[in-house]
Amino acid sequence: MTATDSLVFPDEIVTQALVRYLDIPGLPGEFALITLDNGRDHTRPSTLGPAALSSLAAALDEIEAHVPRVTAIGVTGKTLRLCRRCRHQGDGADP
Amino acid sequence: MPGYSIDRMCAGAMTAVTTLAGGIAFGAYDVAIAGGVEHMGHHPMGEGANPNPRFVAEKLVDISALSMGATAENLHDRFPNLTRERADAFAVASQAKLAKAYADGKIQPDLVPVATRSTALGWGLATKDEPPRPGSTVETLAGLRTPFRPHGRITAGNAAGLTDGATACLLAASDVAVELGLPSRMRLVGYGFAGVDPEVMGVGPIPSTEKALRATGLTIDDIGLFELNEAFAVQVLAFLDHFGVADDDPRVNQYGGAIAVGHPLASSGVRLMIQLARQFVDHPEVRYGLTAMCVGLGQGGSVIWENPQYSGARS
Repeated sequence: MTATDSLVFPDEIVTQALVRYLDIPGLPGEFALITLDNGRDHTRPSTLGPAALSSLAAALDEIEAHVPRVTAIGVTGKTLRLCRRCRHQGDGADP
Repeated sequence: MPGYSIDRMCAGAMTAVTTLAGGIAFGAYDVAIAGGVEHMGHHPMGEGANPNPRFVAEKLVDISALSMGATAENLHDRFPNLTRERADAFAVASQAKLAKAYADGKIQPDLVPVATRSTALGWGLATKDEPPRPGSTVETLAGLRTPFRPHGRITAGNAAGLTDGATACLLAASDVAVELGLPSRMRLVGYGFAGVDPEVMGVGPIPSTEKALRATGLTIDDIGLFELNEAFAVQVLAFLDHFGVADDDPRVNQYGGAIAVGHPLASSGVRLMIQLARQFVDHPEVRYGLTAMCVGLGQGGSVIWENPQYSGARS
């Protein structure tokens, strides 16, 4: 997340793009798995605000720079919903 | 499809197998799934244990019986020839044997990948056991603390780790297995469970094995492969000494054991069976194998299996 992104929506609940490198049985090399997670439970689905997109871009950059090169990349979300269109910001009720 | 759960602490999965096998033998079921699951992070051990209050109030058991590490120290007391050095050497061998089994691809075919989730790390995939410490040496183990007693002998190195796990296996009546074309990996010959003093629960597999041998008309010399659960090294050594088997006998725990792989209590019994079944394939000269384990609060469980690949003479 850059300073500019956080200025777009100062109270954005930021969805982080978490990267893990996994060994999948039957798949040669490493598999990069990105989990999009805003750190809240299922009642507050992840959203893709400016800072979240920044985090996803940084994750993809990290994977691209990873040595050795990964065999595949997957993107998933937290439980129940990948992500959802709803308020990016604040702790108020979901409109 | 009916189902039920049972609880026998360390022997949960083993008891699921023997109970369902008994039901199959009685003709109540054709095919059954037996298994066990344990989350050791949630299982109260030692200080957190909450036994039947009568155990303590009426002094039904020695207070040390409630802490498994303390019962293992008691075993060292009872058998002074079982030294910490022997226990540590056995533990190092367990780590080395499991590492070799992984390198030889003996463990992986029987594992089921499981998704894991961490808020800090995101989703992951567990595709192998996490507890093993393959580089262990007697020197590194010698420096470990003895948390259950000052100057004791039980350490994190010569005891099974606290880890999560789940296992399952398919049981079927012989005629049903033939009818359905199910490949049979082992035939259950007989089993036995026995009670022992809770404060030395680790000796449990000795009387339970004698019981299983009596029930099947076999002797310990008929057993060509042993899968002994390693709750503590000392407890396996007590078993081996009793039956006159060497600590490093190649028939014993060929893939290592719980000291390397962990002991998620209620799941371990079927892990022993899965490993024995794979060893049977590599050893057609062996007819009978034994899976045995001690059970917290004073029991032992033993199951004797026959190798379907056995190529030798049958009496």
